[in-house]
Amino acid sequence: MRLIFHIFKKDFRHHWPALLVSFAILAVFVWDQPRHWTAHPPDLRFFSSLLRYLPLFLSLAWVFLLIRIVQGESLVGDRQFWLTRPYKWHTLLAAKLLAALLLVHLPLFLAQLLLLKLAFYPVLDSVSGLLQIQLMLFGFLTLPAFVVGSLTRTIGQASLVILGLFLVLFGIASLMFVVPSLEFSPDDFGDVMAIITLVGAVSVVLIQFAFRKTRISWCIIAACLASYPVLLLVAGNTTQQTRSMPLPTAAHPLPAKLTFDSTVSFQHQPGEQLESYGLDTRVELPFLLGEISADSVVRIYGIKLDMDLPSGEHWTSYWHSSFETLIPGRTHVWPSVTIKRAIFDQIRNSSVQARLSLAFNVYRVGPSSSIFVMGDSLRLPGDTRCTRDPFSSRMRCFSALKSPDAFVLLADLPNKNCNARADRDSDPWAAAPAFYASLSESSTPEFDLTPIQETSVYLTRMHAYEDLAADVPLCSGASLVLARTKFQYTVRTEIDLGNIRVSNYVPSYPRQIIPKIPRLPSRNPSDKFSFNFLAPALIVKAPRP
Amino acid sequence: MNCPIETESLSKRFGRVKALDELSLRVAAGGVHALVGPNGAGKTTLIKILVNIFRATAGTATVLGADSTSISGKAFARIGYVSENQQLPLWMRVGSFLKYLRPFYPTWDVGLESRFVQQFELPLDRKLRHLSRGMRMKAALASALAFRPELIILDEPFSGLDPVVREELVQALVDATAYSTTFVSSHDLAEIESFATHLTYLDSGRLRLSEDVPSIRSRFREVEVTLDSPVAIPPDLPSNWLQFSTAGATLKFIDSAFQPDTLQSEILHRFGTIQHAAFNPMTIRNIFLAVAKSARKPS
Repeated sequence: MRLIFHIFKKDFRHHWPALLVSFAILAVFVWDQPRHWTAHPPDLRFFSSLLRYLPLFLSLAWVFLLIRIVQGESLVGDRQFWLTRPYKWHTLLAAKLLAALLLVHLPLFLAQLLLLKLAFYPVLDSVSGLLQIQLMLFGFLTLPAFVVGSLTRTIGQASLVILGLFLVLFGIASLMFVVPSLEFSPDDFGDVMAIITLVGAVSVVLIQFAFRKTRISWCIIAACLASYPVLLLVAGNTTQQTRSMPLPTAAHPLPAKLTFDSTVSFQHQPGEQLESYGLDTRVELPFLLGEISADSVVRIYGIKLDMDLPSGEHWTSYWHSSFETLIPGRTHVWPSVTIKRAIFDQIRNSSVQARLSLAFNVYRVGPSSSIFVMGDSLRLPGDTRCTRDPFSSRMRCFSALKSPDAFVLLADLPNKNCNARADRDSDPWAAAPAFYASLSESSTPEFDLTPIQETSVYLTRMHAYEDLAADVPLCSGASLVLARTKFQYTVRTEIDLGNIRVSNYVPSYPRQIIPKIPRLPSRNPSDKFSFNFLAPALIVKAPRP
Repeated sequence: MNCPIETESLSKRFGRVKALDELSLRVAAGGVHALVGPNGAGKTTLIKILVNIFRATAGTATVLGADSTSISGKAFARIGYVSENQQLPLWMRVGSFLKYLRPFYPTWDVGLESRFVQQFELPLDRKLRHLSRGMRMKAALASALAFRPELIILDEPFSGLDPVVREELVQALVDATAYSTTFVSSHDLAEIESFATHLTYLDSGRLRLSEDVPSIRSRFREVEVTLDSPVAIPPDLPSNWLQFSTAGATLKFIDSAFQPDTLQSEILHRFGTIQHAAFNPMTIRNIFLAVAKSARKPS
C-alpha cells in the first residue's frame, strides 16, 4: 500500500502541469454550466462556441493525462530502469488506477456534486447515479486510455494509435452504410460487442502490466476489431431481425387495425419534379388507423416495403426505422420508406405488387393526472423542471442525471386561450389531441459530464390528414394530461398493398393530397378534451391552480 | 558453494539469428566476474535473460537460486542492475531519483547512498536529463549499489566513459565485492582486465572460456621452439596447441594447457632435439585473440 502511494506521489509530481490544465478546464466547465439552466442561455459571443467544446477539451486533457501516467513506467520496450527494480506489477497497476481515481474520477465526481447542489437537486439521492457515471467514465475513457498507454511509449505513438483505432472503427462503422438496417440488430449483439470490448481491454491492460507481452496484446486488439464486422454482418441479417419482431398473438395483439387507404394519394402536376433526396425517393403510404386502446400508446418501430418489380425481381427496402407515435384518437398514419432512385425510375409509370411490413412497440399508459403550465414553468415527473423558451413553442426541461422516465403529455391545444400562429391555425387540425411522447426507458443515468440533463418538451398536433404535425404553444395556465408509459411488447404486421402505382405516393410540392378533407366544423375548445382519449379509470383529476 | 549465476544449455534465437548457443556457465560467488566478447557476441542477450527481460529459447538460467524467468518484483531487491542504454526517469533530479528508489529496498543504506553521492560528486539538485553520460552512469550505479545487492549485474557500464569516471566506478565495484558478486560485461577487455577476478569469453553466442584470471594466465603460453632441421606441420597435434605454425626449423604455437615438463617432453617426443625453446606468458588480450581465432579457424 505504501508503495502504491509512493508511485502515485511520483506521478502526481511529474504530471502536475497536465493535471493543472485538466483542473482548469473542469473549473471553467463547472462555472459555465449554470448559464445553460435558463430558458435562453446568455450568449458570450466567441466564448459561447469555445465553451461548447469544453467536454471535448476536458476528455482530451484526461486521456492525455492518463496515457502519460501509464507511460511513466512504460510497459513497452526492454530498457526502462523500473523493469529491474523491485516493482510488483499489481502495485504498479494499483498506483496507476489510484492516479486515475484521484486525478480524474474524483474531481469529476465532486464537480458533479457541486453542479447538483447549484441546481438545487438532492445531492445524497444522486450519489448512486453519480457512481454509475463514474463506472461509465471508467469504461469509456479510463480503460481505453490505459489500453493505449500500456501499448505505447510516447504521446506521439499514443496519438498515432488512437488515430489508427479511430480509422479502423470508422471503417467498421461505415458498414452501417453498406449493411442495411443495422439499427434493427437485436440488443444481444450490442451486448456481445460490449462484452468483447470490455474483456479485450481488461485483458490487454492485465497482460501488459503482468507480462508486458505487447505482441499478444495487439493480437487481442486485432481479434476484437475483427470480431466487430463479423458480428455486424450477422446482426444485419434481415431474417434475424424479423425474428425479433414477432407476428401478433392473443397475448400480444396488434395495437390497432391498419387498412391501406387506396383512395388517397398525392396530386402531382404534369411534368412536376418528384421530391427526392440524393439517390433516394421517399414515398408516404396512407393508412386508416383503427381505434387504439385508450390505455395504449404505440410507436412505429420499423417499416419495410417489399415489391415485385416488372422485371420479375423482388425488391426490399430492408427495415427502416421510424419514430412516428400513435396515440388514441388518431385515425390516419403515413409510414414512409425510401426507394433507390434507380429502382423508382423503373417502376414510376407502372403498377407493382407491394407489401408493407410494420413493426410496433406497444406501451401501456399508466394512471394519468392533470398538470398546468404555471407562468413560464412546468413540472414533470422525476423532479424535472421545465421553463419556456421565449423564442419557440418548446419547454427546456432539466432533470438530475437522466431524462424523465417514459411519459406522454396530451392537451387540447391550441385553444381559444392558447392559439397557434395564424398560418398554422388556418389549416384544419386532426381530431386527436396535441401530444408529446417520451417513450425511452432507461434506469441508468446518461453518460455525460454534466449531471443536469436537458430535454426539449413540445406538443405537436396533427393536421387533418395526419401526415404532418405542427408544434403548438404551451401558454401559461394550459392544462395538460400527463401519464407514465411502460413498454409492453413488439409486434409486427404485414399488409398486402395490392397493385399500386408508387409515384402516386411520392409527396408533391406544394403538398397536395386528394381527395381534399373538408375543414372540421368549428367546436368549442375544451381544456379537458384530451381526457376523452384516455380510459376514464386512469384519470386522476387534479385541482386547477 | 552456491553460484549466484548458473546457466545450463542456454540458447536464444531472434528469428533465424542464434544469439546464444547452448551456453552453460557458472559464476562463483564473490569477486568480479567479467563477461567479455566482441560486439554481437551475445553478452547483452545473456544479461537480459538473467534479469528476465528476455526469455530464453531453450535451456535454463538460475540467478540467486531462482529460475531467471521468475525474477521480478521482490527479487530485484537483491540484484543491482545497470546497463549502458538503460532509460532513466530523466525528468527527475538526482536527489529525488535516489529518494524515490529508497522505499523499494528494505536494505537501502542511506549512509552508503551519501557516500556514493560524495564519492561520485553527484549534483543532487540537477535533473538526470541535464547530466553527462558519465554522471548519469554514476547516478545509476549509486542507485544500484546503495542497497548492498547480493548480485550486481552491469552491462557495458564503462562504454564511452572517460578514464577518470571509469576509475571511480571501478573503485566502487571493487569496494562492493565485500558483500556482493559482480557480473560485468564489456566488449573491451582492457576496461575490465585490471580488476576482474574471473573472466568469461563469449563469441558468436558460444562460451569459449570461463575461469579465474590467475588460472587463465598460468594456463596459456606462447611457445617458440627452434629445432635442428625444418619440419612439416604434423597432422595429429594435441588439441591444446593452438595456432600452430612453422617457419623453417622454428615452431610457433600457443599452449592452452601449459605444464612445463609435459610440454617439453611432448615436443621432444614429436620433433626430437630442441635447440632452443621459449615459453612466454601471454596477456589476457592475446589469449582471447588466440581462443577466438582458433575457435573460428581450428588449426
